[in-house]
Amino acid sequence: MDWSLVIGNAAAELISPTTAAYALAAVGLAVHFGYTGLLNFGQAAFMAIGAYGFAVSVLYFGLPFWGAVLASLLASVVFALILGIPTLRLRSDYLAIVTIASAEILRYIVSTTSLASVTGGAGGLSAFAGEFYAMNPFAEGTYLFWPFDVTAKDLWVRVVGWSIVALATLLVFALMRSPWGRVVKGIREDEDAVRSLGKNVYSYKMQSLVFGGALGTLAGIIFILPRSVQPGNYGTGLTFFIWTVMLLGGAATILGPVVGSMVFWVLLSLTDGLLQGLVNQGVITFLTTDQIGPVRFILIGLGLMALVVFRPQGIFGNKKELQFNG
Amino acid sequence: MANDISVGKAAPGCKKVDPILVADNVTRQFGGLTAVNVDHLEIPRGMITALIGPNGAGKTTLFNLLTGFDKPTTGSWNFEGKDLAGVPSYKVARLGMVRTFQLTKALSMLTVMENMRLGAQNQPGEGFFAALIRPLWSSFEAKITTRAEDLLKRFKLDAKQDDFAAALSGGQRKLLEMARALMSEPKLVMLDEPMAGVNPALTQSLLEHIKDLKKNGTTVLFVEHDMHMVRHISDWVVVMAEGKIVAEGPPAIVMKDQAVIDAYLGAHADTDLGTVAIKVVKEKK
Amino acid sequence: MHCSTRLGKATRAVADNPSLAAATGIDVESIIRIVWVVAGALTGISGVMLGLFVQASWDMGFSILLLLFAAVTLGGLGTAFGAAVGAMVVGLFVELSTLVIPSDLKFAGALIVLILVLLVRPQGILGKAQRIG
Repeated sequence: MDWSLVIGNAAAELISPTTAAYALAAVGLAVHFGYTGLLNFGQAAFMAIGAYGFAVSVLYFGLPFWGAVLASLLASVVFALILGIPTLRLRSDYLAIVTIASAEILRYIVSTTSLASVTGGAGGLSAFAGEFYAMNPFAEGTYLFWPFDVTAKDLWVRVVGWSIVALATLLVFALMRSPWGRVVKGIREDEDAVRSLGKNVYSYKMQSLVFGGALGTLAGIIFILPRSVQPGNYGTGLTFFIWTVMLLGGAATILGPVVGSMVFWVLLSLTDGLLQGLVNQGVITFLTTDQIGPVRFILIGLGLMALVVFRPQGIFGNKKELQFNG
Repeated sequence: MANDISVGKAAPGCKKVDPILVADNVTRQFGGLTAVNVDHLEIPRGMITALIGPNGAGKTTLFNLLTGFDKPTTGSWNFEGKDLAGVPSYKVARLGMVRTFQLTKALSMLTVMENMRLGAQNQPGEGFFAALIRPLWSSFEAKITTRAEDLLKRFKLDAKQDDFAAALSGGQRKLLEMARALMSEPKLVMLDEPMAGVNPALTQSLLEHIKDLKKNGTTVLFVEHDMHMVRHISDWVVVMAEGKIVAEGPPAIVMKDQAVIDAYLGAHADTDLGTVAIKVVKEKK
Repeated sequence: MHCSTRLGKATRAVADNPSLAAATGIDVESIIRIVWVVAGALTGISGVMLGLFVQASWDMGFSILLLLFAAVTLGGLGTAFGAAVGAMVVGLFVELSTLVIPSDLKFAGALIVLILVLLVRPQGILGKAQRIG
């Protein structure tokens, strides 16, 4: 078995743009759930809005790069308002239901054949990132060192992706230490107490929903820059991966989403490499190579369950800070 | 009996010389049960008014209605002339009518100081965009921190100011909630059973704090069961039973009212309860 | 069963205030277990019927999951009759909507109804307004 390949692939995941996208989406989810206590089970929808918003703006409406980014963010704000207006005055479970439902609605809309001329239907969209790569300042060639050696294009995506993650993390850090963050943390614990002190709880919850959703949308854009947009990627599976990443790192911590994403992807890659190697070498006889993919996801599911039961505060979280009531 | 608080005789629903809160026809029904049925109620400005009554009389429900935490079936009331029926609870608090809760709501995952800072109003840093620019709110934060430190010193919680509120005892959390309610310099403070679960030594200092509020011109309305406290500090007593106001007046008068004694105070209200219990048991035998 | 038996009463007690229910002697953990088992059994039966009627596949549960949410919310959380009524309404709506919108969007239509119900009447058709918080 080629150990250097297995470890090399796993290590490369540490800086991959997909890891960055997941980290950013998890930061958004941390704003929702970790800091404000909102149950958002539709983060995949915000990412889909970023992905489709960007690709459709470029391909169908012919917008330039920044215009497409702005259009996606605008769509994200509208979407958050649509989700929040009916549900934020009700019990927290209702937001959960509505977010799952709207994520599915979005998925249906982008996969339907009737709108395929705009959304690409089941086939998806590609070739929308030209302007992005045209902005690449790095000349042709290979950069960095094993196992992180990348081409100029790859480097550009990683630099941009991780810079945005760093910026978002700093923004959330600053926000949560401000009076705004104080109100939101109070809301997480007891809304009535905060209302009795004169704060408009509904408005704060909405602001949190919009902000976290915007981060999810940016994550969706980073996610698709190195690849094509495929509707199948934005199902509830994606939402639960983001939840796993967030809980793994620690729901209301600063480094949690980033480290959680890195650990998640490294483990995913490691298990893939290990299982492949072991099956090929005949050490594991009850699996075929085709089955490895689904088996890994079974393992992720089990891992998430174990996480919630045995260490719900994640890697960096503080057990005393946990709050799971709605 | 003449007094300088009410216009004319003291009676349920009487008008006050200088009311800060006037409520009309306030009712609240839960299915078949009428929890509150108040024809008319006026709370005098700058005085300490006690709201007493047996459990289930509707006192906390009335509190919830007046402060916007519950929707009335019927009713209208105004505070300082502003119509408040249907106004959401946070707006009521901003208008200067602040309440505490029967089961304390100290935010245990915030420190004592953070709880206090949360009580202040109009902090620009509480706006999303302003929060990101520290210079816009840091001087206001320093101001409210000083005010919080003063209040905490008064309530003897200053040593605990950096502890999480979860680390405080029940009585200390009550004090914190009261101190926090004062951060916004409210005009009317509504205390829901401030003495519940507080040991006798602390009760004395709490009474002094409430008297201080009156000295500063704040109006106080509180719900209590401790008759000694009510007699000691209140200027006016409103008695509720089964959702209605059954008596109103200065404490000395109200507590001698036969209807009130029968319904609520008990025939032995003036004796030390220790002797009464033994007497009652002996009589039953 | 939910309304008249002791088990039904105990279930409603646990739903409302678990600590108080435990204080009156109700075994909260056992009630929760029973509810999960009964609900699971009923769902299993419905899965059998669905498989016979349409097709059995590994993700069939997921595809109707959101319609279930819509049905229960429309009918009213907390009432079993509400769930039945909601299910019939959603089922009819979904199939009739294909007259107007493309058939691969019919589920999306049901979900939009869900959101509208929450806007207009969050307690659903048969639910009680006090339960929605």
